[in-house]
Amino acid sequence: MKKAANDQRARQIKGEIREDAERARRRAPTSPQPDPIAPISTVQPKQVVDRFTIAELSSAHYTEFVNHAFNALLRHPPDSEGLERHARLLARGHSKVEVLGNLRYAAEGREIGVRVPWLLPRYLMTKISAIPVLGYIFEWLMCLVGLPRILRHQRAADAYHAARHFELKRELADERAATSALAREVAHLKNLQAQSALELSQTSERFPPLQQELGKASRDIGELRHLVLSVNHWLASLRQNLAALEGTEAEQAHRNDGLDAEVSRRILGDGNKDLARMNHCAQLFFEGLPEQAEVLDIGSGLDWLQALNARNVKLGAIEANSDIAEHARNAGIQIANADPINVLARSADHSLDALSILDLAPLLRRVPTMTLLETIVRVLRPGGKVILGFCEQHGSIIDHLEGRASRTVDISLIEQALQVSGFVDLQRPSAESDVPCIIASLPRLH
Amino acid sequence: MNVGILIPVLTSKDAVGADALAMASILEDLGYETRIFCLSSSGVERKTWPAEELTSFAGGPDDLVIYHFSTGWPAAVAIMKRCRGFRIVKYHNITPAGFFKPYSADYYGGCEKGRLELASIANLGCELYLGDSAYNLGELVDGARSQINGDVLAPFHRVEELIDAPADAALIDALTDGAMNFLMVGRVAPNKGHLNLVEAFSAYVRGYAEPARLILVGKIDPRLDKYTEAIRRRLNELGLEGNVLWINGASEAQLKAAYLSSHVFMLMSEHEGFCVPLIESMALGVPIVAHASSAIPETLGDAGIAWEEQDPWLYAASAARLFNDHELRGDLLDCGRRRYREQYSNEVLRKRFLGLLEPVL
Repeated sequence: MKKAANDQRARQIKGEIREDAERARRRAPTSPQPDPIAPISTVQPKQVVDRFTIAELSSAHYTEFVNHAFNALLRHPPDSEGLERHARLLARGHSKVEVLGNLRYAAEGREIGVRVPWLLPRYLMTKISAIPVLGYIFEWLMCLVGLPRILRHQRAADAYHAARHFELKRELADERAATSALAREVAHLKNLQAQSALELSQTSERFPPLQQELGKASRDIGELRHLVLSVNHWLASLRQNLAALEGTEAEQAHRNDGLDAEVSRRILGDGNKDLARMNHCAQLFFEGLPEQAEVLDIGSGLDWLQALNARNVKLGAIEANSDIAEHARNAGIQIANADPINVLARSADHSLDALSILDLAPLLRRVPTMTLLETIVRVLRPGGKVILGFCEQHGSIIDHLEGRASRTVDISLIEQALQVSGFVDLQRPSAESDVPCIIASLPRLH
Repeated sequence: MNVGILIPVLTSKDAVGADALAMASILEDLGYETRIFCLSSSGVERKTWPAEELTSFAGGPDDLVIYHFSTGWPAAVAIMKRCRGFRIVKYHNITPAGFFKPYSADYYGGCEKGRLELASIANLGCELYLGDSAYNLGELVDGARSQINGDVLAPFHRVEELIDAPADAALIDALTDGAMNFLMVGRVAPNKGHLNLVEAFSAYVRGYAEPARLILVGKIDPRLDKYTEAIRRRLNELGLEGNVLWINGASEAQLKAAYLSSHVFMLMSEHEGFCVPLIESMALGVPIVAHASSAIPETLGDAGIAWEEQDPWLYAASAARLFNDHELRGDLLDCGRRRYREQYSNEVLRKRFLGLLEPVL
């Protein structure tokens, strides 16, 4: 199908070309007047020369003459056989005219038909000379007739050869001079060669120690490689051990958090008595606070958080213990697992209505009392309240390591510090409790 | 198995020599010891052996002999008769002697003898006869008294080397002067139709009045001076001598420059056994207008415009159409590149060659 369409298109194009050809034929001028184009110099066919004189053809000698004769009379160079045959003729004493005649009057030469005036009679004479006996007599007579000319040629040849002999002697002398210069150069090169050979042998002598050094270096490299591999192996083992230790440490930290949470639960929320006491504290703490008061609790335990959350406040809580934080979160309390010191430091001035810290001792182990109270004063609004509790907790491992686990909290000193910091209305709602606490307020603005 | 390749004259630049050298190279790559036997060689680095030594090297029953038949050579027939192994004749065609009659008795005689030898070769009973084209194979079949085992295998060529070769930049500069360049590549010989080409070129110059140049790339044979003179004379008569650039014995760089700078490849040849310049044009992107004679339609296929007539105005109008119809020009160039890639690339020919040699390898 496609081929048929292509054929159809080809036929159509050819038809259009035919029509165009006819139009071009009709409009073309009878004599061509080509537009001029720039001439380009390249290899053009040589203008054929079809006439030579015998002198022109005979000027060269021996193979050069044969080459020239072939190119002139047959218009191509001789093949090796033709060159050899005609050179042999010349070497046997045949004349150049005979060679020229052989080429010109061979079938190929006749076909090309280069004109050489007076070649034919002279060629015929050479051929007559080849006839036995008669040819000899003819040649003898011709030589006799031409004796004066031969003598003249002989004298000219003598002069030519003498001149040539002189030139050759001079050229020979030049060549000798050049040869002696070359001989000196060769001698110099030989010297250089001998020196090079000596240096080469000296260099060769240096090779054995170098090879020994190389062997030693190779052995050292082998040992070093062995050591590097051993260290790599040791490092890999160390990495595995560290990973195992890190795993154990994380597991231990998690277990510690669980224990801490349990202790807190027991301390803060164990039994109905404690619960009633805690509700009483909470009630006192919330007295005077506005609706939707913003309250922050720091590490007071799950029960206290639940007690706060039951009231109409905006409660935020900070808990470093991940286990308690998780329990609080499960109880629907918004809680962050963060460092309470950092949170207080970053809280805006006068941003809270109340702050509860029922386990003050860990904080006081990390920051001085007055610094903590100054921070609390800064973040509470005027009229804001604070509740501080004092558990009988032992310090953590880190506290013991850092030498602050033995610090104890004196409640009366804390009360004095609160008063110094500007707190008023100090209350101790459960002085008889194992977990005493203080509630204090900042004065309101008037 | 030894492989002997027989060829009268081995030169690297002509199509027959390139074919023989490529075959030798392929067979050597396969691990067969291969030698080329000839009367003489030129421009070839490869060592060659005298033709008469072929039978002692590859005349045995397990050997392979490939004779590249392109000229009369009675000795080759005798050598082939003495070979006992697998014999292949690769026929590259011999120009009919009549073309040379007005110009050279030497060529006339040589070609006549060669054509007469065609029957002897065809009746040698060789195991395989290969023609560069179906046209060539047809001549062998016609010459044989009985059926022959024949096939077509286009000649290996140096087109890929030509594509990779640097072009003569100065010649490209000189040729890109706004004139439309008509290119013809082929030795200056009567069967190549130079006189008709000159007429077609003249028709274009007269009919279309555009600056144009005829680039004739090819070896000028001194033995065919009469033919060269006839071309020159006709160019002078038509006043076109200034519009013709002859490049005699072009280098590879000049040949590539000529292809790259030409706007049309015009072939008016009256006899071709295959015509490698056609596939060079296809590969190098020159649109072709050709006379549909001998093997030319077969080689050209649909990659150019071919005319059976020799009316010069048709060729001039075809060239003018190609210069102005860019769609047609693009289509023909695409066809040419595809045809080259699918049918004539050396890789394709190599596979085909090895397929034909399967019975003996």
